[in-house]
Amino acid sequence: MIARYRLSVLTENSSALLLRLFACLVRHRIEIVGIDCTNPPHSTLYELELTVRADADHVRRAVKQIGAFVGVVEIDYRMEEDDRPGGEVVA
Amino acid sequence: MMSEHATAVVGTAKAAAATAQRDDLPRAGRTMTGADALVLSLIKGGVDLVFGYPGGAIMPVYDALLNFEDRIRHVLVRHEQGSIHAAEGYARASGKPGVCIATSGPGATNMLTGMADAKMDSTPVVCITGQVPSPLLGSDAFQETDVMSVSAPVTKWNCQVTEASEIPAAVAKALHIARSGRPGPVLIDITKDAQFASFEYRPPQQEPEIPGYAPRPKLDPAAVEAACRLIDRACKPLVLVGQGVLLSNAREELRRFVERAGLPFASTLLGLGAMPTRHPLYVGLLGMHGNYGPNVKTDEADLLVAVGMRFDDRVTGNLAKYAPRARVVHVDIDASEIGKNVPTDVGIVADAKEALAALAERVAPGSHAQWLGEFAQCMEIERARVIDGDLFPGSPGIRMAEVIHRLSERTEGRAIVVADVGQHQMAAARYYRFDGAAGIITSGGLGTMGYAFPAAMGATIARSDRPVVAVVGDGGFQMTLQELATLVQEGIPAKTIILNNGFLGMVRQWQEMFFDNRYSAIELKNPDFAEVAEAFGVSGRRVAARADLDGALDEMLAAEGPFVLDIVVEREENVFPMIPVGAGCAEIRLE
Repeated sequence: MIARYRLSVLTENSSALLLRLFACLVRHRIEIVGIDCTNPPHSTLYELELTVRADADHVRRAVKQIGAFVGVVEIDYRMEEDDRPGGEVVA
Repeated sequence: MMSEHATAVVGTAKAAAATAQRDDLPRAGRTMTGADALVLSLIKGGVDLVFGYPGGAIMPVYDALLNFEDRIRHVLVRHEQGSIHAAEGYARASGKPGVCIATSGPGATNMLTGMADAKMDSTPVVCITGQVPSPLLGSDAFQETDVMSVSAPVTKWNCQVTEASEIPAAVAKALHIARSGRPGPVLIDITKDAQFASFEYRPPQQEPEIPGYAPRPKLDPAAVEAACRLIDRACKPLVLVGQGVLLSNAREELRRFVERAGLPFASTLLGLGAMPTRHPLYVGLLGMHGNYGPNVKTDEADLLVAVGMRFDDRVTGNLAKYAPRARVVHVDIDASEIGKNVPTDVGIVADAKEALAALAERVAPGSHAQWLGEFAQCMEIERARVIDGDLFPGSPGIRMAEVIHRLSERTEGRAIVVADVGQHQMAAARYYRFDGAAGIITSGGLGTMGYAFPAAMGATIARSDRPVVAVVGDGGFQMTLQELATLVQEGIPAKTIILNNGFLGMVRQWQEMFFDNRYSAIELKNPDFAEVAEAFGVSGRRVAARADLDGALDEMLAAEGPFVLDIVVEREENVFPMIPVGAGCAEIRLE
């Protein structure tokens, strides 16, 4: 089922890593509809919030692969309509 | 006079000895250029051999190589694709990262196929590319390519360096990432101004901590216990051995595990060589052109224990029909592989060596004689309907299987076989009797034609203790044959067998079977490859008669220098067994 998902990625701020991440989403035919990036104080890591539109299986596979990228500390995702925490934490 | 082979061996030994005495290398605080720092950092990281091709944006590095030429050997290839495949072959044969160097633009893009190949097959390779000076980045300068973008999907990690002082840390990080965890290719793109600039050298941490990178996941004892419970209860278990066993050097742990529980095991293409193929529990090769037994019996198995393999589609066939009765235990160091293609009952995210040692210790002793006997029956069927005809054909034409069988006998299973892609690859995988101490090196995931010949160059340099033989087709050989010049110039005694049928054989087989015999663009009008080799200065021989085969193989294996043996094989031979596309494993065809 095609739906909107929110991906939260805690990652190094490396343009190469972002390239890799977007390439992975494109490969899985995941449409990116929103991007937000924040740098928590006193942290070298960044929080990337992506809103995407795709089918659940593609999102699950992409999230797993992104979780294995060098420099990605954590990634989780949830359906956008579902405000509850507890989406799958992968890395 | 010293032979070319002897010169090469001495050169490598000299570089290795010098590397062992690294204390005399420049120390912290010395001012040096980024290019010198790059070469020094490679040496400090244990690198004593690089494959490469110079060009404008990497010239400072080539100048720096002269400053360390007694410590690091550079092999000048004839095409950048050759450099990365050679680095892959070196890495697979030595267990150490292969390193290759190219200039910007076309130099870098020519290495992309090799990067994709190394990514698919988990091969540790460090690619170093020059880049235009940083002020010109993004200006479409001469030979500028956005190599970071194009390489991102086909590397494990990549970075661009624009400051000389960042080079030592980048090299240390690259080597660490390439060889740790699930190995893979990495790329460092270095702007020319960073190579020229001087800075005060500071040695980096050799195994830097990287946020979010845990290359050695902690073994979960509960998962091991859960796996053992399934194994102990299984009536028809089958162990699937992948390349992860070789990468983690887990041969002994695998042997203890399967022998203790009496588990039949089958191998993926890249897992070949993890154990001797004569082992009584070995039931054959998995996959599209694998053995009949392990494919058919996957359908009946009640438990699969997959170790260091990724359930590639060439192994599973139609996933919807795959192993319908089996529970699945999957051991892999890469968590993202667990459950990716096949639903998993127990996932063990761990290094194969550690996981197999734990499984071997906890699993109950057992045997599955009846189940094993069913595999033996399948082998008899395959022998009668496929193997005997392949090895002892009634027709005058030489079969690929015959050649591999005779090579196997002559080398007593000790050779490192470097196979290209196609029918000959399947013949090599099916008919070479690996002794379990060395295996096959081939492009398993990407299926890169042209891979084997340069990869064999790298493997030959890495392993002077074993025969290294490239087995290629006439199509693939012509994709990278310019490296014949490299063999001569660098004194690399690589041996090459061309199984020459004048066709792109596997494509022809598919056109025959699935496109109603409509042959399209598959016939090759070839030169005389022995004469081509001779023109490069490489010994060559052409064989078309069965009676000449043994003598020619002996001549090739005894040659001190490089040798090309062009064997004319039957033109329209098909490789069986075969799982047709879209079919399940159990639907494997014997003819």
